[in-house]
Amino acid sequence: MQNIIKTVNLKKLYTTEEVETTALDDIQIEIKKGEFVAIMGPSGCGKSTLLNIIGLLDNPDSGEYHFIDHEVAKFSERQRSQLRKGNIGFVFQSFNLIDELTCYENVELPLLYLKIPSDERKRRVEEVLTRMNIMHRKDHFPQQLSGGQQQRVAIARAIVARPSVILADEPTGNLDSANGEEVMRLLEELNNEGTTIVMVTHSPHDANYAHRIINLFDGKVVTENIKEQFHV
Amino acid sequence: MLKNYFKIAFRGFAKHKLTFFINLFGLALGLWVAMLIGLWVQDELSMNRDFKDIDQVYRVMGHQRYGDEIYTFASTPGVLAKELKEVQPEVELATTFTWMEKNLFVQEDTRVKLEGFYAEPDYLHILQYELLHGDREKILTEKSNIVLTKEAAIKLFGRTDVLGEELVMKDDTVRSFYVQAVLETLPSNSTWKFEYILPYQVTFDHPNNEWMRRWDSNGPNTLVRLRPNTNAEAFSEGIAGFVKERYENSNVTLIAYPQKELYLRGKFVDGKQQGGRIEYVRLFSIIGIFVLLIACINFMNLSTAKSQKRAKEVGVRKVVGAENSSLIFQFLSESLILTFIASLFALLLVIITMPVFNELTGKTLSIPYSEGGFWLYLLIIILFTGTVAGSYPAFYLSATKVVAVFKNNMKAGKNVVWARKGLVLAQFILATTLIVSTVVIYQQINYALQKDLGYVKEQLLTMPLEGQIGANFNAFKTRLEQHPEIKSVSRSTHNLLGRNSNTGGVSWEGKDPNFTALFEIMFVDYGFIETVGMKLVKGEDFNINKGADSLQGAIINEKAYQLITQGNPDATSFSLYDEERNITGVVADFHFQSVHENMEPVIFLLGPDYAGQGFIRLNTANIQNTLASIENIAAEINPDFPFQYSFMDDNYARMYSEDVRLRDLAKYFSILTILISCLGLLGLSAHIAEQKTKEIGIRKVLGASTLSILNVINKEFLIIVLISIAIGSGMAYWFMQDWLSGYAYSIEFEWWFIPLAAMVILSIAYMTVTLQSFRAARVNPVNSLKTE
Repeated sequence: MQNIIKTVNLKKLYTTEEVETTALDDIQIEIKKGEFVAIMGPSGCGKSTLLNIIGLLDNPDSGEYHFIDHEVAKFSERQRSQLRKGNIGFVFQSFNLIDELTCYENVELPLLYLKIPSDERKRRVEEVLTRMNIMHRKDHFPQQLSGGQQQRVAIARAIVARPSVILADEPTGNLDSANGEEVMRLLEELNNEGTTIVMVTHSPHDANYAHRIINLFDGKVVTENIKEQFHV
Repeated sequence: MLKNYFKIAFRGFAKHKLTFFINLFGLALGLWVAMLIGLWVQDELSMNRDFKDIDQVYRVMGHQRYGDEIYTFASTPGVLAKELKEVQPEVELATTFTWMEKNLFVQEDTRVKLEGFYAEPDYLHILQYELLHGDREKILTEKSNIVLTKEAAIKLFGRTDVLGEELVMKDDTVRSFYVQAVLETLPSNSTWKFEYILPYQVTFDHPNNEWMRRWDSNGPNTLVRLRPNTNAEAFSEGIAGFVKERYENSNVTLIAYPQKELYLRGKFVDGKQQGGRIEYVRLFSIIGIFVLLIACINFMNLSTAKSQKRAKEVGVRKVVGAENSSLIFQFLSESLILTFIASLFALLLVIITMPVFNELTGKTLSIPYSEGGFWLYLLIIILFTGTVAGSYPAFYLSATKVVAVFKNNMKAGKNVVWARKGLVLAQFILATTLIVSTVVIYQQINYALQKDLGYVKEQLLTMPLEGQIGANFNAFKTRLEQHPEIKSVSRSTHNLLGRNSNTGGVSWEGKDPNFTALFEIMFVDYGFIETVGMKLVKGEDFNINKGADSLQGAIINEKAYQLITQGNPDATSFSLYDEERNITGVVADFHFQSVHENMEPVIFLLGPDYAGQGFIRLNTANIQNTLASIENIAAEINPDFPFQYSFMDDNYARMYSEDVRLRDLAKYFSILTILISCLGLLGLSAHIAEQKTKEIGIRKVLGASTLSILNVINKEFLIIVLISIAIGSGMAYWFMQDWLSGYAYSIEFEWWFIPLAAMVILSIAYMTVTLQSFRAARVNPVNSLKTE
């Protein structure tokens, strides 16, 4: 199957006044369209840095990064932003909903930036909210919802623009086990429908949902476990 | 999308009420001041300019050299206008017009004192005041004509359709005039506030005014309208020697100066235009912009202080597809919405405070609701303020690095903290500058008001000697002096409140023929020196028992004495207009102008018949009763005229009304600036206290006292405030030295002005910050550390 993400000798350094830290060192990974990949590793191993680069939020210092058909390692912020729009959906550990916007408005936001006409927006927002089983709370503000509900809104926002890739950063980290389970099932469902999912997690249980686990340690890929597809 | 921005904005306002209030209040104050100053500046800039063809209208003035200095006077020979029109082809219209004077007018039972002047027929063609009734072509052509303003007509007749009606003017004679035209209410942006105009020929032909027909005397003003496309500069140069060509000994060099510039740029120093009212216009424009900037700075400060809260939103928006430009647009529209709301409050404030502001500035301003220009100006101010206030937060926030969005720790960079401190610094520099300046202006005005003037201005009553009092002054004087609480009575041509009559025609033994000094001439009655309380250094006051000694003698001041005895220490006389005068007395120098001006040489001559200003020295604890007695005596002798008087100390203080205005405005601006700055400080310290929650928690766990915690937060601000005091004081020193140099007699910039202002600012700033830091310092560390 076609690679949607491919990195070659990817390197990222963080430099402060006195210390230079190698965050990512010679990373080579390939992720195919429709795959569900988990990235694991201890704190500080470079997971978030990798996710930033994969998510087109940051550039590597050297190496190549192919996203779909583009070599994007040298893209400007503007170019990255253009490519990101509609192609990548993000799910965060702390949900990152905008407090001043209702659930509906939070989900609508990516479509506004894509300049989708309002009728179409309404249809699509309602569709994903219904799917996420959160339609009845659409006019509520994030603080009025439980953690599980907030994460469902966040997932709705991530998928409303129908991206080909979803990047999830510890999506169950702030949830109890029941809500966590529900979120993982939703991600699995989306993957089954063809969306590529790249997830950073500390939880072996969550990682089990993935087809493949990439283990990072000190900025390097140490192992890649290709698993049989199974459910707990 | 715009709807989305509006929603975010309004929900944000509702959520962060303190920030919203501080921003709104601060911006509203800033806009309020900017609007008031804007209206004032607009009014100043339009002063005396709203006349047809005003660009062609020129005032003919004269430079005169005395000693080392060139003085510039608007007074010209009374025959100049006519001659200019006849001789100079560029002159299309020309008029002489006199100074403003008050006269009593009688119409049947109505007696009214009106203020007005004499002018030639061209006057109302050059300055085309709007006519309510009458024919402009015929105005002032006959000696029996009078032009009234609408208000004067109503005062006299109770109506305005009064063409051809007779009214009587009473001065030293009684004359009838017939109303020939009625003018519309004079425009409010015109400084020349008259109620009537009489034909110049009336005063020109008066037997006392023979001097008006001569080229060696200057008195009335001359106004001309040049033909279209005339090169005014060439014209001005062309008429430079016009007076000298007609009177060989003249030291007058004529210039033609644009009439429309005279109000704002009418001050001449040594023959060159320099400063004038335009300086105040500039000063207040700068203050207006400063106050507005300070309000903008608050907004920037608070917005960036709240950036941590907004950073998450920015990160999320970027992740879901926002570009920098759309974020900048979002934040700018937010500040514009806020500025718009603030401007509504500001407008309301302007409406409420307009009467007070008018009193403060001596104007009659109003909001020109029907003028598009005003709304355009308002729109520009809103756009400017909103954009300036929103620009920094917009560019700063939109540049938030989105990579941190995963780590949930988006923070303001170090440079921003510095920028923020810089903004507070700028505010307090301004506040200090204004406060120190206010203190200096206060001191200087107090100094001017309390300065020993060389005569005793307290309990010195002065009154115009009109009608029968003028004619029977000695009877009046005798009656008054019988009153036990009236010490003495005399009269003079001079009111001691500014230049009146002066001459360069004084010479003495050993005088350099090329040197001319300007001497003020005061005609006085017997006992004048004693009545006003001047100090005689030599000789004696004019005395009726001395006969010819007094009549042919002169009393001079020390400045005059120094000049006359320069080459000859034993000199006892000088010559005035080629007539020898013995010096019979020398008085200590005294101020007959404001302390902006130097004390100048003065010659007193005995000339009671010219003296129209009475002076009465009181010595009483009961002013009211004494005044009543004077009024009774005046009414007996002079039943036609209302009793009018004033006290010299009040008159003297009135000379500083512009300075007092400046002082009051500076005072109010200082208060406002401090208020707005403290609003900013309040918001900012709330934020810093919030940011330092963890640090404070840890310090408390380690045993820090509340006081030492207070210092953690307060220290940061106090250092900034101290630095701004240092810089602000320096700026104030610089500005005030310049301002004080406009006074011939001024205070020194005292060192204690600075600690005084510093103490005021520091204590206000300290209280403001403590309000916040005290709360932070008292939080239980268990709570503050748990949230981390």
